Amino acid sequence: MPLPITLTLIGLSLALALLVGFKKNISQTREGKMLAFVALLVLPVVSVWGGFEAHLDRAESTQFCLSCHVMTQFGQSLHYDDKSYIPALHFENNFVPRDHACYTCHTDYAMFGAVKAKFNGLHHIFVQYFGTVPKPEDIKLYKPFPNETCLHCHLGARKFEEVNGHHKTPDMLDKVKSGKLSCISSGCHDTVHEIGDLKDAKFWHDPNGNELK
Amino acid sequence: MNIESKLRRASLIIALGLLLQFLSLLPLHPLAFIAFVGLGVPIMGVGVIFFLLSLVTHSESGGK
Repeated sequence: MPLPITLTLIGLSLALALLVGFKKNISQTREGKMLAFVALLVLPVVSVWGGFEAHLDRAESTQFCLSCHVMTQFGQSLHYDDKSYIPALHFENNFVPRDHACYTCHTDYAMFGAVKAKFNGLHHIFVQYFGTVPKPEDIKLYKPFPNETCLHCHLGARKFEEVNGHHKTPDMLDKVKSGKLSCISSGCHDTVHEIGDLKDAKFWHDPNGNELK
Repeated sequence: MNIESKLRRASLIIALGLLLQFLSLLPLHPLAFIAFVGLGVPIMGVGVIFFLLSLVTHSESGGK
C-alpha cells in the first residue's frame, strides 16, 4: 500500500475515532453503533496492517540502513572512485537500485530471505538502542557472502558467462554456480566496502551528499 | 460507567494510538519503527480491547 494512502487511511480512522469519542449518544442509534464498530475496530485494524507494511517497505531503503551512525562509513564506501570496489561499482553504475542498495545485496533470495532480513534488521535496531554498538570495522557478515545473491542478477548474463576471468580453469564457472567457489571470499572479487581505505580514498561523488569542490 | 463513557474512553485511546502511528510514518528512521511497534500499536490495541469489553459488558447487563 503506497505511503500516502496509508497515511490517509490512518488519518481517516483517527478522525472517525475522534468523532465517535466526542459525539453524544452515539450508541442510541443503529447508524451510530455501526459507525462505532467501523471506527473503533475495523479501520484501526486495517490501519495497523497498512502502517506495519509501510514501515517494512521503508526499512528496505538505503537511507533507512544508513540512518544509524555506525553504518555511515559503509554508505560512504559506495562512492569510491575505483571500480575494484564491488559495492561502489554496483552503486555508481545502477547495477543495484540506489534507493535499495543495501537491501538488494544483503538479502538472500531464498524462500524466507526477506523474512530473515527483517528479523536481522530488528536485531540491529535492538542492538543500536539497547545493546552495545560495535565499531564499524568490527562489523562482519553473519555468514560468508552467498554466491546466490550475485547469481540472482549475473547468472545467464553474457559478460558473466564469457569473461575470461571466469574460465581460468575448465570447471571454474560450474564451481561458482554451485557455490563451491565463492565470488567474494575466494580472492577474485574480495574488495568490498573496505572502510579502512576511506581516509585516503578518492570519491566519484562526495560521500556525504555535498558537492565536491 | 455507562456505555457512552466507555465508548468515549475507548475511542480516545484508539485515537491516541492512531495519532502516534501517523506521526511515526513521517520520519524515515529506525526510532519511528520503534515508536510504531512499541507505542502506537499497543495503545491502539488497549483501546480496541476496551471497546470490545464495553460491548460485552453492555450485553451482559441487558443493554441498559
